Amino acid sequence: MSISLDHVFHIYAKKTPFEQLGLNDVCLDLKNYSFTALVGHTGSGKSTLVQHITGLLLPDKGKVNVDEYQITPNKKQNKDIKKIREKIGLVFQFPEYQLFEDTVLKDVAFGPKNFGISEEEALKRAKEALKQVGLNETYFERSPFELSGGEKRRVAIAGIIAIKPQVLILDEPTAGLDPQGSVSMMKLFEGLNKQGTTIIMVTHDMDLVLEYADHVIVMKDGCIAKECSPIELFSSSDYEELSLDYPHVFEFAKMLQTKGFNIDLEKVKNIDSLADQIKKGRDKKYE
Amino acid sequence: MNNISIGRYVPYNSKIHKLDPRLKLFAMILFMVEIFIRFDVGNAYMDFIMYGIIGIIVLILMLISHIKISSLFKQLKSLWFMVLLLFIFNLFLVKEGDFFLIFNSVKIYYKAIFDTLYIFIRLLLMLALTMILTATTTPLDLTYAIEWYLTPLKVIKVPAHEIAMTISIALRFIPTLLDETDRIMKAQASRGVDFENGKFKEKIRAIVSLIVPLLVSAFQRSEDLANAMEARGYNPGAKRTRYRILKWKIGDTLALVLSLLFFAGVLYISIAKIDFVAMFISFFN
Amino acid sequence: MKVLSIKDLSFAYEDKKDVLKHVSFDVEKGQYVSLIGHNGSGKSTLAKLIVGLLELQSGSIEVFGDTLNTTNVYKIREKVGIVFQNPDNQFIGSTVRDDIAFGLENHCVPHAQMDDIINEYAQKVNMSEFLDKEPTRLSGGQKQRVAIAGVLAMKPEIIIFDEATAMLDPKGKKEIREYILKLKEENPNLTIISITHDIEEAYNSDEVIILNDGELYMQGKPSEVFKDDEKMEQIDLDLPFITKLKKTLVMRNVDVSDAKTLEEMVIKLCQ
Repeated sequence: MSISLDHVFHIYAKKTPFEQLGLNDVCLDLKNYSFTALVGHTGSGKSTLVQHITGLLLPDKGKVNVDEYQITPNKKQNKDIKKIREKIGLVFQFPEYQLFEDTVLKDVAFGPKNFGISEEEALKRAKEALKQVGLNETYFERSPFELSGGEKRRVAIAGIIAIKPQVLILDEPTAGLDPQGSVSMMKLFEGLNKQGTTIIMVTHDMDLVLEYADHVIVMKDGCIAKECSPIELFSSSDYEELSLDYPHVFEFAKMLQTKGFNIDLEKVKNIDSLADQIKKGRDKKYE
Repeated sequence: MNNISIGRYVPYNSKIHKLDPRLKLFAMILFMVEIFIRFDVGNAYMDFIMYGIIGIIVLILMLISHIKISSLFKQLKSLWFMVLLLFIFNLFLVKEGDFFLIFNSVKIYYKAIFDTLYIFIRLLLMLALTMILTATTTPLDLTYAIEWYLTPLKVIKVPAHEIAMTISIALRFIPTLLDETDRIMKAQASRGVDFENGKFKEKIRAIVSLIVPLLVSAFQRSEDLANAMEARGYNPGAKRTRYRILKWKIGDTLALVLSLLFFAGVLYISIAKIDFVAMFISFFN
Repeated sequence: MKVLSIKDLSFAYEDKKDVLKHVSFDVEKGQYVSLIGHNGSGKSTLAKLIVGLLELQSGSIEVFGDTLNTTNVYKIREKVGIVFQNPDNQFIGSTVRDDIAFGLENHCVPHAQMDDIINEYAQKVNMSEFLDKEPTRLSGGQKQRVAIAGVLAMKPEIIIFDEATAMLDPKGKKEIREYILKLKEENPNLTIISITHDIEEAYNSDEVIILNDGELYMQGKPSEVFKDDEKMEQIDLDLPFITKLKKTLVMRNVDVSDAKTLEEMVIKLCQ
């Protein structure tokens, strides 16, 4: 599956005093099967960008290509948007707000049914998706409104997974969850990615970027400021200029390096690999 | 969501903007009454002359308030259909007086045309007046004006302050709820909901998938808001001081006198059945 | 001096199981206390009980020696301010100015003094240039700063931050966190209770209280509480980065557990 943006512009509140450039000449080719992180400050255009990929926002200029389909500025030409939305699932920030059915199972089956899947198949997919997000049979007939915040989030995500999209876009999926909830959520996406789903994750959390992503896109003022691997991003000399945070483990590894400690930055992904590298470095020193 | 321009405050610093909201509200009501006064001198022209005079004043007020005439006609777009419908009704229902022409054996009476025109002009003037009021007065000021008018009704237990507080909070949350609606629509669209096309049954489903989450979140918001208000010491019914105080200025008195004089004049012309055209003719005879 | 004293507090929402179970603790004047625990551990319920937004069921709350009841709740709210999680849902006024004024109006501050107070507190949270802005034109962090100004303007002696940074982006989080520290520095007598998931913030506070499943699980100085990492991990709580790193290193036979800061640790590792 291929997704590309071709000189896309987007202007918010056009022809009002509050006019604002959302996307400024964005060109992009998204990598298949990757786990791509989309980072940047609030208002840099991350959400605007992902909404263009599924046609929730239309470009003011330029076009978006998804396989054989196109999204163009002309509203009347965009007849294939529903087909695109079946291939690309988008999970918004705080998706628990989209729940509305009286049982969890029905809510998850709602998406597949809208895309013309039969009732029976939709329920089957819903059950599978709920198991994937870690909710068992006891949840199926419960009302989504009586669940805890974290459980609601899982139901909402299952609602998109059940559509079986080839690409899953996640906008701040761990926002507002406690640390324990965040980790299990990230493991879920990692698993989906290994099974062949392309993941695009909008996030502010650089720890997650370093640990899970294999590719990063940095946005700034509606433009793509940088596109590379996480390690390239964090080690680049102009990273400071973007005034984004460093991942904790990377920051610590770098502190060690500047003090002359022999450590391979590329191998540091999380706290375990950091400790491994420290151990390795110490062992070498004492040999 | 951004194309709703009626009822939207436009920040300028015009003379009209500076007037007291209580005066503006009162003057608008006077104007509205004037629009509905008929000037029956046995002929229709007197009505149109008076509409013309009121229209010119409204036009001047619009110019002072920095409202573009084109924005008024934009608002009219949605009214054309109604006016047309009204005209067709009048064509068939009004069958008195002289007729204007016969079209395929349907008689079109002058009165049908005039009656439609009256309603159209009234709508136009009312629209213009509402625009002047809302474009030059912040919703909050308007709320305070309403509260001031309701205050005497406290005697018969009308909770003037609480009503004003409710209106101002509702106004404050309109943009927030519009954003929320947009967000939920997009989230459901990602789940394959089509809000524009589809069969009747599908449309109902689409609306339910929007309304339920919107209500759930509105309840959550109102609970949070109530907590925040209480935590900051709000106690309905208890005495409070006020930050925003309306100040009546000399200009307001002047404007009040002018609008009352104009109103009295219009009323006199109507009751005394004064006919400008007849006066004009007799003056030269 | 004790400014807040919670005694044997239990609470349940209608027909549900207990959210708080026999919780007791004291807070000393001028302390910066972090209250941590999982979602659903009863932290926010506790905060709402302290400011009288929920009615007490069993146990008691004493604020400056006064036992909270339905008659003195308004008096106690003058002493205890609270900043909530959702920046949008606690913005009451239609502009920044009106929002700060809201609390003043409730406390019957004379009109003549209001503008001065509003300007003073807007300045304190760096929002002076936004005084006439509407909430839709502000970022989440800016709205939270307005909420803080609104609470501070009422000159409370205790401020509760109920996950005030949870819904903000990193920039907003940092702004608010730094502001809380500045606030504490400038007002040594102000007591701050911060309900948070941010373990690093808790690590830098004076005292940590951990709630688990409605019960008081641990209380003490951060250095002592976080030392007992096994007890923390028993309830799956996240540890501060430094504690986590020490622990993972110990598992690999690298012992730097006596380092107090990350810098110290780097020096020790390089030796």
